[in-house]
Amino acid sequence: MAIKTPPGPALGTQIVGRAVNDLMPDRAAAAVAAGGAAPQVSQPMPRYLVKLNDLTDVNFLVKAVQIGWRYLIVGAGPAAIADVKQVPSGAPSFDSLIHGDFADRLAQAADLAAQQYGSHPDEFEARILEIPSIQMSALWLHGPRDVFFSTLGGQSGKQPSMLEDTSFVLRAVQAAAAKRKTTTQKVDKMPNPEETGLQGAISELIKAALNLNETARQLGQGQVQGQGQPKRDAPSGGPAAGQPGPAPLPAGSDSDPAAPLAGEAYDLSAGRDLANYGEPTGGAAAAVPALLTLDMAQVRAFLHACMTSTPRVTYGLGKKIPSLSSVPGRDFTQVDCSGFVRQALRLGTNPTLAFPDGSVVQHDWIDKQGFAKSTPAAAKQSDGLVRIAFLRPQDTSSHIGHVVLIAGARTLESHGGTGPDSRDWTATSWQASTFVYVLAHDTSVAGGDAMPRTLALAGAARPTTFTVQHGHRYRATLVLSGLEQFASNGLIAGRLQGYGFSNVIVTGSGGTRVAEGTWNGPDTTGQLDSHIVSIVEIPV
Amino acid sequence: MALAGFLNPLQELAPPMQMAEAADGGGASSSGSLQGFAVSQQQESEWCWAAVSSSVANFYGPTQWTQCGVASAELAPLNCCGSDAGGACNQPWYLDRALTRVGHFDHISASSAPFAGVQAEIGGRRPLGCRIAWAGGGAHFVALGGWLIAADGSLYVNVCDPLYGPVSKKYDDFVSAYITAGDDWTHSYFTIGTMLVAGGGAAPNPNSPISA
Repeated sequence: MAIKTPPGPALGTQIVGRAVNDLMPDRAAAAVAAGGAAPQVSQPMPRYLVKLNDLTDVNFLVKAVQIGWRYLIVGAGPAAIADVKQVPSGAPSFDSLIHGDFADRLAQAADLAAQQYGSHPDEFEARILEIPSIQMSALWLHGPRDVFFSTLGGQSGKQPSMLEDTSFVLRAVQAAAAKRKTTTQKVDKMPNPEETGLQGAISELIKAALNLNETARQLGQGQVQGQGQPKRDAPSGGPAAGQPGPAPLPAGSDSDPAAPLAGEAYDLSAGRDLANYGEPTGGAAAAVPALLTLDMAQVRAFLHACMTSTPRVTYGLGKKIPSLSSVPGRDFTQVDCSGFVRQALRLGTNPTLAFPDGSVVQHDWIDKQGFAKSTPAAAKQSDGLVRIAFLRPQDTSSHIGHVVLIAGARTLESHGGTGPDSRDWTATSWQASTFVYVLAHDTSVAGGDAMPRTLALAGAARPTTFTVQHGHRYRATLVLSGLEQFASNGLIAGRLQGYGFSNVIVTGSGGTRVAEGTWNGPDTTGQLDSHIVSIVEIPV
Repeated sequence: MALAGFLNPLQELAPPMQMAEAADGGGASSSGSLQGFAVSQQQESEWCWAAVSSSVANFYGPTQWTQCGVASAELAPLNCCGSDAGGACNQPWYLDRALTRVGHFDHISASSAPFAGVQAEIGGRRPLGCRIAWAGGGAHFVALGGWLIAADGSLYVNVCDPLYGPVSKKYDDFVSAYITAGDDWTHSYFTIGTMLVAGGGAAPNPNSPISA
């Protein structure tokens, strides 16, 4: 079983039973009198709490403190929750009995968690996380990555359909920042000079947000999916999580880009494993910056060499490139998607990037390195950025994942039926289901593009000013360095809100952040800060 | 009701008689509650004050007060039932002012109430508003709708929480450890069925705190 619950306190069930007897006597007695089943109690889940003043960045989970255990009570009526508290120097004792929708919601969350992660190869511990100061509570699966199913809304007090809450961590940080700001305003009744309106240019806004060193701890990986990003296990346009998954896509079609055609796979099972998980490697990868310096001229040259070699390099499921110096058409004639992308990134970086093999492993690696999450739609822009997109095995009928590089709204990839190739990135079909990250600057772009009010910033052609207009919404990609990388997204969002942006969303972590906000001030032209690698007006 | 596999095996709780025999002490339990009183779930993340005040109003008699209606009245000129819903309207506010707005504020006490005081309010069919200051920052409004003294003498209160719903809790824990140690019951908001108002209602208490 992939989800486990640790053993609870020895007397936990007795404590719960006594509380039910005290507080729900009618229910228990009625069940017995009617010959029905007495209430039953579940295995307990450890219950953790994070305080508001410990919630300053996305690493706040390390500050979660166990405060007790939570049991679900079922039978003889609606579900209920019994909490048993645990104090460091005392026996466990009864804490609370909670009736009503909250208990039902926890039961639903547990069901959904079991559906989605009950057979997962990784092991998770089922926990409860409570952050009462910002009205958030969740079933927390703690494992190689942390998974949340919200049982309290947290956004607007509304209870959405039960889904995996991929933005839980970021929303918590943002809500905490907003709460602290609100509390400070209300208590102090002192105008914050930073909130008295925009006096300068946009660069000052960004600089103010970046000149932060509130913590010396490195940010962990962001948890939020960008707008338009399909949720894990709930692909965009697909059924809600917990419901039957999306209909299988036609095998071998362009909807399944890594599925091999005849002759492209000699051992489908082994090839699928190699394509998804790659060849075994040893040793830990060195830390890399959150935005690569990638020589796209080298990458494109490699693609060109593969496409024009004799014989041409074609697609081969599970086929890899022997070495960094391997010559297309001579040293290898077939390569799969992850093998191609791995070689491309290795050739385009100096020192050579220790990029792993296998699209699933590559996806995890990119996520863990903290590369900014983007969206399939954003990758349609020619904004001077190189992105990497992953299609997960579970989202394809062949169960073979796919990985591509995207630059200038074109892919650089190796796909079934062709091999190394470059195609339009349309954000439709299988592309709409991908997970996209900002990987690097496209150093071969000279600046400018066809999109109005979009600035591709590279080299000498980089514009120096930008105008924000009242009521318009913008998305900026920021690259941070040094201590700036430690600034939390919530803090950046709070500062931007304070300066006059509304509905601010900041995603990403470490050195790369993507900020969206609507400008509420007057039209203003200002100097672009060097931290901004792209800024684009987006539809509202 | 079947539960997720990882929460199994389920254990059957002992029937009430066995539990009572196993319990320390003896005697009968006693309790009091406000039949018909419930606090609706707060419709915005910061609207505990609106949920408690509108629920109190609806307990005392049929009214038109809704959460967004209370918020609109308190935060005028914002339109919290319309264009400003979920935005500027979603903010912490004062429960005494909201209770005054709906016509059921009696007085405020900057402390918790003794258990006997809770019994007196419930006995008088008056919900009692409470402000909980979270350990570590922030605060929250709830209301008490009942009490219970168990057979072993343990004291419980029925908390009507706009976030969690109905919660039964030991009185001592509610005073100082609602969710965790240090969550303090800092203020009590006494309500009244019909508020006698003169000149537009009670003046705002400059020392009353806000919560969400």
